[in-house]
Amino acid sequence: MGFWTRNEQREAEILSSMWKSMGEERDYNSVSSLVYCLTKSYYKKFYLPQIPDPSEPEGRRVIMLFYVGLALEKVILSGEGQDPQYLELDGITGHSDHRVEGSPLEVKSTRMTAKRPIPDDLPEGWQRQFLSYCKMEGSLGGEFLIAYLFGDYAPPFPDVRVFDVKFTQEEVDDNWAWMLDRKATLEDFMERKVTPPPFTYNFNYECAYCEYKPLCTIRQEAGI
Amino acid sequence: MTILSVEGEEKSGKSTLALTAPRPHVYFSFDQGLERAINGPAYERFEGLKIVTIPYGLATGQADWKGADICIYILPQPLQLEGVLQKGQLALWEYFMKQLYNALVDPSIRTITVDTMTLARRIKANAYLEELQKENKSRVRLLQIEWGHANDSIRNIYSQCNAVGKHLIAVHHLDDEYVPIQTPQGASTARSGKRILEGLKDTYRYVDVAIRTTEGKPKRGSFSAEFVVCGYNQSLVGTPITDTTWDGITKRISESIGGRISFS
Repeated sequence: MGFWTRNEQREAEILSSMWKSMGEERDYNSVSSLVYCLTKSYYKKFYLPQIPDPSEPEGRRVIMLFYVGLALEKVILSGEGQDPQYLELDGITGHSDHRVEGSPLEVKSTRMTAKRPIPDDLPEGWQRQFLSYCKMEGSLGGEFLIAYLFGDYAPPFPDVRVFDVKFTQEEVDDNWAWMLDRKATLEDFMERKVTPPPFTYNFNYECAYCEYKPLCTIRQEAGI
Repeated sequence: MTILSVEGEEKSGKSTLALTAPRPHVYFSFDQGLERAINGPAYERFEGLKIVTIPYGLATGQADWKGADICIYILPQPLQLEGVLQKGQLALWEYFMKQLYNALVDPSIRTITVDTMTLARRIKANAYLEELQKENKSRVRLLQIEWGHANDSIRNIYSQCNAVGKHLIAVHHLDDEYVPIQTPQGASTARSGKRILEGLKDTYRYVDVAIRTTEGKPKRGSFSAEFVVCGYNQSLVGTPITDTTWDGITKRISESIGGRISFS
């Protein structure tokens, strides 16, 4: 049977290596920086790169979730479609995870249950990201793959769903107008060197697991 | 990055120890006695350092500590002249939060100290009571459950210092421990004789190291400490610390684990 001793120091080293190998620099004007919390994007750019600490439970959670998502994407899409194309439109950069016949294929992994109706319960951030990639690819739709890590929470657990998505031109253009407005807002704060206010430019659900939430709470208590 | 709790009786060297942490250092002083800490028996530790003191209400932001080794914000508790009505607590808390935020987002700051976290928590509780009294002047104290607001704010401070990789020193007073007892009149509480950390009940969960300082051992005027909590090496708990400086404590921990962790 031997003698088994947990080596937490080694766990932290491996997690740190994983983070470094996965690390992807996202500039302030990327689709994901503009769709999601602008205050977080500002913090990341100007103050705190907020590298997750693998010796802390929260840091471990961030690294492992990111890793699972990335690994799933690579495995699911190996041999599928075309590689993503890095695009820029109206000063906004981005790329979908993959492309199929010139249209974006977006992959998301999630712990939410597969029972939740799509698109009604699709996180707004995912929808806006996908609409943005459609605009940038000049497409009115594509494929959206969701890897449900726990399926519908009944055995045998993990499952995958693929949706064929079609948008109207108006939906794509409305979303793009929203994105341009977000970009202008963030650039305005950057020019004035003022941090965007807390809990203002985000989806409500983002704060629950945000590593910057304590900082935003401190600012809220300070009235700044 | 290390979160250190320093607890002890009055004048047992808590502040003196905290001031030896890595610099540049932003120090929030709710308590009195800092002059004694800097210019008292351990003054040589601070000779040659540039120490700036910002009186309450005169903070200007990150410029306060430019070029300084230690920047001390004086945060005196407001005098309560209107009976049970709280006044000035909310303003003090907001002021503290503002300067704390400035320190958190400045990558040049290596250490933040809150002296004492005991008082900071109490001020936050009083600030919340002040808010409640604006709506209802008959409120004289918080309910037990309402202390959750103060506790959450303190936990936030620990979380955020942890997240941005700065050292945090939380200084704490001690208080008497009360234990449940049975009397002929029914259930009651009584002092156990033990002195415990006064503050957030689960403070030890949020810190990497907790030490208790003592004055007068082995003789009056001498200072010592012992480990109460040591997340890096549990076998140090209960052992004495002879060099009650940041470097002394971290060296002791580092040597005990074969030098695998650096505390700079």
